[in-house]
Amino acid sequence: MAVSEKVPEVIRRTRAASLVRPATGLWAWLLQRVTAALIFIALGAHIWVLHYDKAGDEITYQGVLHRFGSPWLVTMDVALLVTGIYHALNGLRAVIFDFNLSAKAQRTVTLALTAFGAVVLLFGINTLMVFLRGSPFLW
Amino acid sequence: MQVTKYKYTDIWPTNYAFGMWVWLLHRVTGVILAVYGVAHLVVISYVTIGTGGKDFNDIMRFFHKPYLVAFEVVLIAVAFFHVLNGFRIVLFDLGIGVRVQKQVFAVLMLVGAGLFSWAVWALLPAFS
Repeated sequence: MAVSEKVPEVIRRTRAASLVRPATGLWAWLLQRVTAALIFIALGAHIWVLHYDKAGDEITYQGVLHRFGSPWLVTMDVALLVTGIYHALNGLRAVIFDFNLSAKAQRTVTLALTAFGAVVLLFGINTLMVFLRGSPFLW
Repeated sequence: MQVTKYKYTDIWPTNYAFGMWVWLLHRVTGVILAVYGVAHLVVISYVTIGTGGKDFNDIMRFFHKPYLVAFEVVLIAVAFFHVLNGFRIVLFDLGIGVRVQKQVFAVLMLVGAGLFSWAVWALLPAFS
């Protein structure tokens, strides 16, 4: 009781608010770790199935269609797309922000990277649909 | 060499501490992997959609040259460094091993060297 009374009101309120509504940077930091772990699993499976299993065989379209035939693998690759794009672009965001940007520039960079990520995600899912149903889903 | 005649002495490379080089390398490898990831997606997508596989087979034959597979070996090294150092960063975030960070780095890089050797060995058939 005595200790909590010594904490200034503004700090006490900030702490309480940060528990209810954590700052976006905290979620970005946590998600960067979570996506790292997911990428570790998904990328490991992706590289093993598509590049290492029978390494040295000539890589052909039919062969990849055959290897990629399982819907589970395609689902896992969609997960790799989502987590990979987030991890890569949030990483780039951290690198760019280290160059002392203004708050306005930071918002612009975040918006631009988010838009870029959305485009790359749609593009990637579009390609993966070829393996799932024989043709891309956008055209 | 300790450089002090510049204002920003802490960002002068010869003044970097050990962890600073690792931090910089993590960023550089991260940017390389991000650029490669997008390039990989665009190239594979471009040759997968539309032509029924002819473009795909052509580009795979193009990439199946020893000096281009060598680039993939470099990429494997970059990826292993980023993964293992990322693991080290997560450990530090959890408050584990901060006091022995150089030893943790050395152990992880030894693990990385082992994994890298295995990966290159497994990729040897692709060089032929």
